[in-house]
Amino acid sequence: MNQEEGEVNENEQYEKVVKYIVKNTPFGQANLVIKDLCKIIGNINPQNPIMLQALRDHNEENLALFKGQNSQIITSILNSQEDFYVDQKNNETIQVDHEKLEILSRSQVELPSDPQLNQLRDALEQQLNLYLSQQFNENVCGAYVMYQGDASDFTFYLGITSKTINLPNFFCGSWISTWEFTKTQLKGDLKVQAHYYEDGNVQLKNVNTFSEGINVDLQAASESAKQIVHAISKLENKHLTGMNNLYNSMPEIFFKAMRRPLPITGTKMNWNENVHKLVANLKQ
Amino acid sequence: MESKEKILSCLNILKRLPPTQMQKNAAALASLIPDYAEELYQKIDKPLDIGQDEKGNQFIQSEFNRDGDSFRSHVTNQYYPPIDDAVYPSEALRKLEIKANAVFDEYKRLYYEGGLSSCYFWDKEDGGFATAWLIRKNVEKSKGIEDGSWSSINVIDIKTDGKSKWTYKITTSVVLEMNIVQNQDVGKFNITGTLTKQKEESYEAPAGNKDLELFHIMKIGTLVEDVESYLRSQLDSVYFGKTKDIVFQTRFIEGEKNFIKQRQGLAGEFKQKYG
Repeated sequence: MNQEEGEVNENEQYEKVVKYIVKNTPFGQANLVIKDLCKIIGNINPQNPIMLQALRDHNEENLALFKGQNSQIITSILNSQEDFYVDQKNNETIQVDHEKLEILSRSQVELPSDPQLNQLRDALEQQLNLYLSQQFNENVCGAYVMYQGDASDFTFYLGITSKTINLPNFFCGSWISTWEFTKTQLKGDLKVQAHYYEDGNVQLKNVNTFSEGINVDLQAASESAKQIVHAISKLENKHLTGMNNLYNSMPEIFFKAMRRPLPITGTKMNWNENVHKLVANLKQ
Repeated sequence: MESKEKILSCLNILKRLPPTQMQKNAAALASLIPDYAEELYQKIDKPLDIGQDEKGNQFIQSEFNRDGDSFRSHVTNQYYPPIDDAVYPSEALRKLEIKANAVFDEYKRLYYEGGLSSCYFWDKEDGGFATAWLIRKNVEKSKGIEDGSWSSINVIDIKTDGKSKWTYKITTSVVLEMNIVQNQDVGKFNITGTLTKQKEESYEAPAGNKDLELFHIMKIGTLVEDVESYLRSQLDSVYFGKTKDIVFQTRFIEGEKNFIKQRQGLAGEFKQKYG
């Protein structure tokens, strides 16, 4: 009885740590982190349910992209079920391998659907793919469109993501934006991350929220889709321009405020002079 | 050795997590290997904390002036909270420590125009001694930055060959954070970074060991100045800038992708035409 209790407590304890660590790991490095966690904990491998769950949560939060033969799917909290994901457009449930980021199998399923909303969804997909091809790096990028409700009362969910993963050169980055809109309101959240760790360790974490009024006309699906994706694109571009300005001002407003490159005299410190002067002062 | 591997795995993980969360991250990992926790804590660089004595004088708290849960002040040479049976530098070393703090304070004034500095010395078993020269600087609510902090941790190991040659080995780490809580264009923006460099120099002591203390302070100070300046420049021009590059190759600025394609197209045409 005692031994069981002890074991349960140990499990709970390292489960908390594993969850915390994997959650804060930049996308692209989770597999390596899990391997190291297994080494630290001992007698455990990456297929352990606690590790798999942490990896799954990590992939969903980062809109991980899974590739199959001719298709791809993004996993998020939205389309997540017990042990499969829902592909609304193709009426399928999909099983994936979270470590390899691969689609394992698909099965047909019947899902509620609305023909008008389907039309808007298709138009949005078209516009999003165009947007991706124009503004994002093909490395790993993708988008999803899902909806809930019917023509009289609906909410659409969009996700856009792009990831740069270059482990041999010690850097990773991701752009993750999630949006939802109703007939009159568009709302979005953006997460931008970058990590560079050749010798050092520098990380950027940037989040922003957006909100804008729109007017969706289901009779004009193509026009509405263009309007929405255009609104998203404008907001994201504005954010990026803001980042550019911030980085340009960093040397002056941040680094110089922290530590000058040189004293205000323009020359390095004269140690000889200062040492003698200051130590002499001490004696007094 | 098992402990070495586990600690290495911890350090590998810590390198992938935000450096200014080091305390929390290290504590989480240390809870998995409680027997090696102390060893892990000694290998990490985290933002420096500030303590106060009974008169309100501040001093930096670090691994190098810690004994148990108490920290020694470079001002009073006392531990706070007070403890019995603590570790103190020898009398000679304490004299050197007082002088070094006075000089390092001037360095801090010249380069940081604010902030707090502390030097701590300790004797070593091999007959040499070691010292940590520390700086903590905060920037608050200035020019749009909500808060920012800089911690430099310079640890210098000093040895002599028994005759007149002195060797100084320095390891400097800078831990940096810039935090913007709400910017109208970019929202919440946070960059954290850490970078470390080592350097070793040897010098001949002045004839007859004249003013040997001042000599040490000058040599150590010059090394600190050189390495800190280098790290500052690297963080500014290379490391922080790299995070920008990463973002902008993930999501291009409007028109940039077309621009790149155009350029590539023209280059292709040129190659075709002129081989």
